[in-house]
Amino acid sequence: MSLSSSPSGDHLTELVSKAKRGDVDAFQNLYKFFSRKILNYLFRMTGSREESEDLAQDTFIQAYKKLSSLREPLKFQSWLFRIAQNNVYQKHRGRQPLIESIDEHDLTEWSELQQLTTPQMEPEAQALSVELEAVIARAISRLTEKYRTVFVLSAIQRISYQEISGIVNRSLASVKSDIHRARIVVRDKVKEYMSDRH
Amino acid sequence: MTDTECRAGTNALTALMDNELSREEAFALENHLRDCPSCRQEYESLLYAYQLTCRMPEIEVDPSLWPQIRSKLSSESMIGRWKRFIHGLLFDRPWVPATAALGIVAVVLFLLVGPPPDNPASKEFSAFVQQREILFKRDQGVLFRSGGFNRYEPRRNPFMRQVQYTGQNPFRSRR
Ligand SMILES: [Zn+2]
Repeated sequence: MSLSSSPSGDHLTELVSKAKRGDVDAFQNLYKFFSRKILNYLFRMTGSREESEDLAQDTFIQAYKKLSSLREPLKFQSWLFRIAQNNVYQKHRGRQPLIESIDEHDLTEWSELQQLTTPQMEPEAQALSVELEAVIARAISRLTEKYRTVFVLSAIQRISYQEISGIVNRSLASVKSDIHRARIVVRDKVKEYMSDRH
Repeated sequence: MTDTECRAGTNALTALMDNELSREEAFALENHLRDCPSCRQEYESLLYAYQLTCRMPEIEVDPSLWPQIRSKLSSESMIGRWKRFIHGLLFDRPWVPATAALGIVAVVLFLLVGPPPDNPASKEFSAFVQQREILFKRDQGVLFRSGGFNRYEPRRNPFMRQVQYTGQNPFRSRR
C-alpha cells in the first residue's frame, strides 16, 4: 500500500495557485495528495466510512470554493484539515462516533502494514491485533471531540504539534497537554484490555 | 534525580515520543528515564499504546469519490469564476481596483473643479478666449498675437472681389 506522500513546497505552491485560477486538474492533483489523509482523519473522527466519505466530499468542494482565501499555499494541508474539522464539528456535533468494523480489504492491508512496522512488538501482541484494533478504535471514539481531534492528528496523522495548534486554533501549550491526556486515556484502555487477557 | 526534576505525569513524555522536544530537552529526559523507574514505566506503557495506535489500519479512498466531487466543481466553477475574479482582484491584486478607483476619482474631480484658478497661464488663456469671442460677436475681427504684439485683423469676405489700388486720386475729375 502506498501512503500518499506530500508534494514539495514549490509543487504545492504551483498547484494551489493554478487551482485558485479555476484549474480543476491542478485541484485533482491536490486531491490525490491529500484525500487519503483527510478521509482517514474523518474516518477516525466519525468511525463511519460512509460518513467520512460524505464529509471528505464536502471538505474538498468547500476547499475548491474557498481556495482564493488561502493566503499561504504552504499551509494548504492545515487549512484543509481545518475545513474537515469544521465539517465534523457542524455535521457530527454531539454524536458518538460509530465503530464500524473494517472490511476484509482493509484487514489484508493492515497485515501488510504490520509486517512493515515496529518489529520490536511482542509476538502475542501482534496476534491480538484485530481485537486490539477494535479496542483502540473504541477508546478513540469515546474521547471527547477536543481530545479526539488532537489525538487523531498527532498519533494517526503524525502532524506536528505546531501545525495541530494552527488547525484547532489553540495554543501550543494546550495542544501539548491535551495530546498527552488523550494518550493516557487510550493507554489506559489498552492496559485494561491487556490485563484482562493475562 | 530529585522529585522536582521528575517528569512522570508531565506531557514531556508524550512530546518525547512525538519528537517534539529540543535536542537538549530530549537528552535530559532520556537521561532521567535511565535513572527513574517510575518515569520509565510510564514512558514505556505510553509508547507501547502509541505504537499500537500507529498500526491502526487506514481505509482506501474509493475511486468513485473524485468523479462525484468533480461533477460538483464544474457546476460551481461557472458561478465561482466571477466570484473568484472579483475576489482575486480585491485580495490578490488590490492595486488594480485601487489604481482604477483613484483614476476615476481624479477625472471626476477634474471635471467638477476644473484646472486650478490661480494658474496665471490658464487665466491668461481664458481671457484671450473670452476676448476673441467678444470680437467675433462684434464682427470686428480676430485677435492675432505675434511676437509680443496683439493686432486685430478685420475679417475679410473671401467672396468679395478684390479692388486693385491704382494709386490715382479717384475724386479728381478726369479730363
Ligand atoms: Zn522520574
